[in-house]
Amino acid sequence: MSAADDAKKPGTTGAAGKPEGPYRRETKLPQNPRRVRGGVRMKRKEGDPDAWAEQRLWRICEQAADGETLKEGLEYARGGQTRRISFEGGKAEASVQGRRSRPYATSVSLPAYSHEEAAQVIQALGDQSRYAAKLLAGELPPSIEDVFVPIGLHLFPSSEEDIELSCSCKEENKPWCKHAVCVAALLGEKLADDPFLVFELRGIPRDHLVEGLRDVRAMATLGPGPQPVYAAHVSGLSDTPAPSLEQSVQGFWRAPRRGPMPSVPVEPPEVSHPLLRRLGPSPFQESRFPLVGLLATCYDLIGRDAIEADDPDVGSEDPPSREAEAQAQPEPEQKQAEPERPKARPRATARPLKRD
Amino acid sequence: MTDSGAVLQADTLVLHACFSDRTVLVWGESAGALRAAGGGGESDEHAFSIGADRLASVVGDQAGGSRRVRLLLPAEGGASRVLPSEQLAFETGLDAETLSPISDDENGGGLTLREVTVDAVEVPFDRYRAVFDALLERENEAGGGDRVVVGETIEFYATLGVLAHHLLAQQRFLPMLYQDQADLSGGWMAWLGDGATKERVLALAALMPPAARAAIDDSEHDGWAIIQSVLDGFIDTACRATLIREEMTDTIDGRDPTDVQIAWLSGLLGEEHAVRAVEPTRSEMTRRIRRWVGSLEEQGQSTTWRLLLRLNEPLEEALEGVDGPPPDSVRWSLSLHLQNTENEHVVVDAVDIWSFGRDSVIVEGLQLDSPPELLLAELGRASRYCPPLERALDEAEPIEVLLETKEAYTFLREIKPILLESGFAVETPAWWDSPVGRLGARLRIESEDMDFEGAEGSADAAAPRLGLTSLVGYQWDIAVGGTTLSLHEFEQLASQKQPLVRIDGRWVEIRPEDVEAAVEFIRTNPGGEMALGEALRMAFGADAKKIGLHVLGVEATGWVSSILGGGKDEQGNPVRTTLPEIDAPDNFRGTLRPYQARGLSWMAFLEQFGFGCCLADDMGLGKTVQLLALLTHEREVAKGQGETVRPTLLVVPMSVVGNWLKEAQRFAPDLRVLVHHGLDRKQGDELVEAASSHDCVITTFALANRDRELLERVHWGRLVVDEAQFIKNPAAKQSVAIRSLNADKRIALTGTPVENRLSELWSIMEFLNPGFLGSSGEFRKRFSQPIERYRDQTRSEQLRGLVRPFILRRTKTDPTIAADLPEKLETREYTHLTSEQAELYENCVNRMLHAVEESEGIHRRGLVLAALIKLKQICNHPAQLLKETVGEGGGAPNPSRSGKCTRLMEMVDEVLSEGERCLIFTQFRQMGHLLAAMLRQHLGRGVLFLHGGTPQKAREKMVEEFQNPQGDVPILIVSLKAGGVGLNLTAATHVFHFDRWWNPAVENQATDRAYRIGQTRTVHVHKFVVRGTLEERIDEMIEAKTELAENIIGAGERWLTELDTSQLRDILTLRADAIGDEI
Repeated sequence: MSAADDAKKPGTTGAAGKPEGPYRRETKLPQNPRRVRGGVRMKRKEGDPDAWAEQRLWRICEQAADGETLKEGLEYARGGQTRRISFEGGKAEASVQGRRSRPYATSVSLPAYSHEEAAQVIQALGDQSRYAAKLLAGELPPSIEDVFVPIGLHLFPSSEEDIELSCSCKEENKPWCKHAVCVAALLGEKLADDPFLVFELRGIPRDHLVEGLRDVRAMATLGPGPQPVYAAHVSGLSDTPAPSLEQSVQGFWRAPRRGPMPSVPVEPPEVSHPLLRRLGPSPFQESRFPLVGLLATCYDLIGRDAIEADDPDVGSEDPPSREAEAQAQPEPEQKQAEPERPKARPRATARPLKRD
Repeated sequence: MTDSGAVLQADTLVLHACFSDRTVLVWGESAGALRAAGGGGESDEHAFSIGADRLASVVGDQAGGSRRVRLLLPAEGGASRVLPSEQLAFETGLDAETLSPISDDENGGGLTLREVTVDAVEVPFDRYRAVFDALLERENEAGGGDRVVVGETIEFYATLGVLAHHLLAQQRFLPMLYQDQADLSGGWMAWLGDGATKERVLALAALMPPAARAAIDDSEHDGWAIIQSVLDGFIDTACRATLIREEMTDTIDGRDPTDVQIAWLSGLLGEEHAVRAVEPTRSEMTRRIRRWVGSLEEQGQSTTWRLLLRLNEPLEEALEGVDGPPPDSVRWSLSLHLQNTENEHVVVDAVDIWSFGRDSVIVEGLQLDSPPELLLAELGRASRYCPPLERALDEAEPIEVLLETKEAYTFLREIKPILLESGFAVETPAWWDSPVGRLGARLRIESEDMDFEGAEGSADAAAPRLGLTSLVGYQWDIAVGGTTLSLHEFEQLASQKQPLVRIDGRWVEIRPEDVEAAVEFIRTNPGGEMALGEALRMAFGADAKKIGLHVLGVEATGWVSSILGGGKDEQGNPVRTTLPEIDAPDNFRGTLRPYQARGLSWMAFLEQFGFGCCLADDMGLGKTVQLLALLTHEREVAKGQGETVRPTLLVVPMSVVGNWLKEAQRFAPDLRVLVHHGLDRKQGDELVEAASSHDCVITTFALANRDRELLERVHWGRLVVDEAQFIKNPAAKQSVAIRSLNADKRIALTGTPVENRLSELWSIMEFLNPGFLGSSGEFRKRFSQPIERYRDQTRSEQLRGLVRPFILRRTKTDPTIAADLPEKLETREYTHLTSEQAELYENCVNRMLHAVEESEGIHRRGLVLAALIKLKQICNHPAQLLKETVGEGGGAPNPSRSGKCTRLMEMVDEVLSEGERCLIFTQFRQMGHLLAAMLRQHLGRGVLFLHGGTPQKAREKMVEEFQNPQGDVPILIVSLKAGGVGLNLTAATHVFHFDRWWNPAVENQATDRAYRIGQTRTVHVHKFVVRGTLEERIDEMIEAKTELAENIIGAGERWLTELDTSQLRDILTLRADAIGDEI
């Protein structure tokens, strides 16, 4: 049932005790609310929502609010009657300008999960690497509700009882006022853009979710034996199992595809220890030992050995030239990148680095 | 284990690799054991695997201990016989059809997997590369003992080691903490989460044969887990080896072992893996390291927009008249923008962002939410890697950050790569990434101008002998773009210690660390004279590392510049100087296409300077014609000057001797050609004399070796090797023999892309210009290994630069060539009969002639027709006449029993090496089966065969398979009366008519399967003709369009039955030149 259908039969779901007149249909905004300059406007000017997250919320509005309210609320949202809206603290809180001079304070939120429920949710999501990977990449897969079914929860509201509303317009026997519809419409749009918002509404902040997922994923690695506390995602590999051996019995002995091998030159990196630079300071700020500086030295030594092991001119045949060459080359990258750190050879010692 | 005691004769061993229980293992199969066992048995043991001791000796002393491993391997359904690997099946010729993935019958469908146990040896990570390198080398080794064949799993694991090595050099690994219940341990781990690394790993994973994960263990045949474990094992071992040698544990000795960092390091720096920590430190440690490493995968808050930093050069006005270091007052601007990740051209400037306010805006149809908030968040994230951005965060509405020149340099050199890796966008001036902006060393080679006299000049005697050993002047210059700096100027610049300077109105990078080494290099290499070959090796082979400067290439003057083809322009594009053009010689019958005339000029030009050259045009572009034109041209020039020319020795495979002779007669009838072949070939002085009275002597590779001493007695004007891939094995006898022949000039012809086959390339270059690429050992170290193992682009470029002057390769797809080519190219491939075929042929003819003498009417006709079919079959392959069947342990018949089949195999090799596909038509279904079997055996891959009995469904599937651009079945054999009218087979660019209908209309119909609407490339049609047989005579009649031929075309073969006996004798009798064995 759509908003337009409802609007055609105001008698059936009409607002209780409110005067209704044909004149209202002719004005752009219902009951001529005070205009707001620079208010928050909904971007979608017409038609049904595209994003499924937005559709989910809108469907409930359609079921819960009467046609006229729905239409007016949507027009409020599109017309920019919202002075301010924030999506922090697990709810959408807005200030919506109506007819009265004082704007209404309206909020829409979802019931937060309990501590235990939140833990269950994170565990369930983390167990399914497909969802975890998508979420960590900032995407919300439409089938995400499948994860919630076995634990008896919903992520998105499934009925109007799942939505908590409040509005200062005091229409107590009618929780779905046009202001609430207006805020819900704006919230829907926001949900479509930010996959983490729905979790925040449920009381799981983004950081908490991301970190929780990583923890779970790290625990749930394959097989017994030591497992790394964190493993990278390589989409297309770590989340996509190869065909089973039974399926691969044809062409068992050959590469599935004849492709060119990628280039894998044994060369120094563009800048020394790039990963360390990205990692930044040690995770153990309270410890005084210069961990990052020591690791930088390790990287340089290891990288240098790898390159020398492969140099055709520094071969086993001619060891003296190896020494000569090592001295002729001032290991450029290292010198450039880490002026504070002395050359590693002959003996490396750890020294405090600025950034530690 | 069936090592079956003493296997006395040399065995063939096929080796494989797998991964079990954190160790890479090598195991193998033995052909001898397979024959002895007659396939797998019911037992739990693999029936024909190699036993532990023998395996250890094959793998070599680098390998580790032996162990047993359980594998899941393909077995025949029902019966649980483990099947041999595809490679072993191929080597032994057993059952090739059963295993080939596509066959016209439904074989191969009933395969299952079975558990068996084999012996294996471990490959320790510290000797991983050495073990696999030795195995790969082992395959190339000739010599006594067992033959070792490596399976694709060996190649896969070897490549995995190469990737690990690459990750070490690139520093793409991380210190990691491992958890096993309550135990913690440290270790070094490959980090595969970055863009470039991800792509490499994905490409590698796609090449993983299922057999590489056959071992039964905890990894549950998960390819990804295996790849990660092998890389981690390799990297951890290598890291610890270095750190132990450097005694890195000294750095934490005596420190507080309960300190969380010290605890972690103690599991990383030495032999020790264990990390000792107690709660609550334990879980805190785990949590923090996880978060620390996890931050590498963090993304910005928007998935569709990201920060773009653009580095803008200082304004031109501020730099007016500046040459050298810029004034200190100069400022670079780093401007701030947001960029859409999917549409990178959509960029919003900071000025606009601040004006938007908190609302969402639509930019070019793309939604951007709260732009100011996003920009600030992105700046905050980026400032971690780019300290100058903190200055922007101090402002309320920053638009740009101003940088001093040194800061700008640091940004370019160090910060930019890190920002890009972290998911930001960076734009820098175009000169930064181009070779023009970089200071480098350039080799200048000076030689005299020399007139190339082309058509009028002397072709031989009077020309100076130049070549690679001639001395040229050389000098190293320091240069940037087009500007050369003197050593003094350079030292001046360098002393300013400014990394970015202005030269000739543009910015140039002077890497501070390069300067010292560069000055040193230029001082110790002041220039002088050296052999040209040496100079070229220096220009293309010199290591930037060694010189301390980026090598910009080579610049030449005089005749050397013509050879090098003009070098490169400022943008690095090769400049082709135009060669003096030679037109087709007068005595040459036929016209040269424009590219053929260029080929002729090129060969004549290089020869003039004493260089050997390789013409490597695609099959069908007319290499033969170009060489014949060169020979004719040479004679004409010499004649004009009253000189004589020494004879050319042409060494070719037996299968094309006839073709050369035919082509020579057709295009260069004035050339005096002698074929040195056959039992009655000239010997001793007779040959030496005969050679001097001929222009060209044709012989075969086999005879070049056998008659080596005789051929060495002649002073040849030119030695030409056709199908140069025949000398690809440098150590083979015939290669050595051919290299030892005495000739003034050398030319190699080949249709395969030699530049990509490195050992072949070396061998051919060694023939053409001995010593140029160094010894084969040096070549392998410097070029083959880095290029083949690491796909080393730099080395590959260097090698290309070195050989480019001496190889001319044109492909049919090259637009300038394609324009010169007709849409359909038809050639006849003249082949010969082997003596087995000739004997069968003569017997058949004699018996038939004898029989027809005594019969009449229908009976006589029947005899003639039956004999005709037999003769055709004999020309195809004796096995067809003798009704030998395929399979049954014997495998396919040997193609070398038939001249036609030998030639077909060679030509198909060429087609495949060009990456093209072909159709092969035959009249006989049985011949189709034989060809399919021979090709499968020859190529070790699947072949499609479509015949009258193929059901419609299967036909459709084959056509689809063949036409599929991603498909891997490039050969389709067709035996259909009407050539399969209605089939669309445009994926083929080569069409072979293996035997003939003698009806051009029928043949054209068949050809038109490929040559039809939808075909965008030239279709090359090859019609096989056996010389000296009825095939050649009937072909000639059709060509000559004789009256008789009209009859032929009209009435099939019936007309032959009407001929009288003497006419029949004339057409059918074998001529003397038909036979050609590789004697």
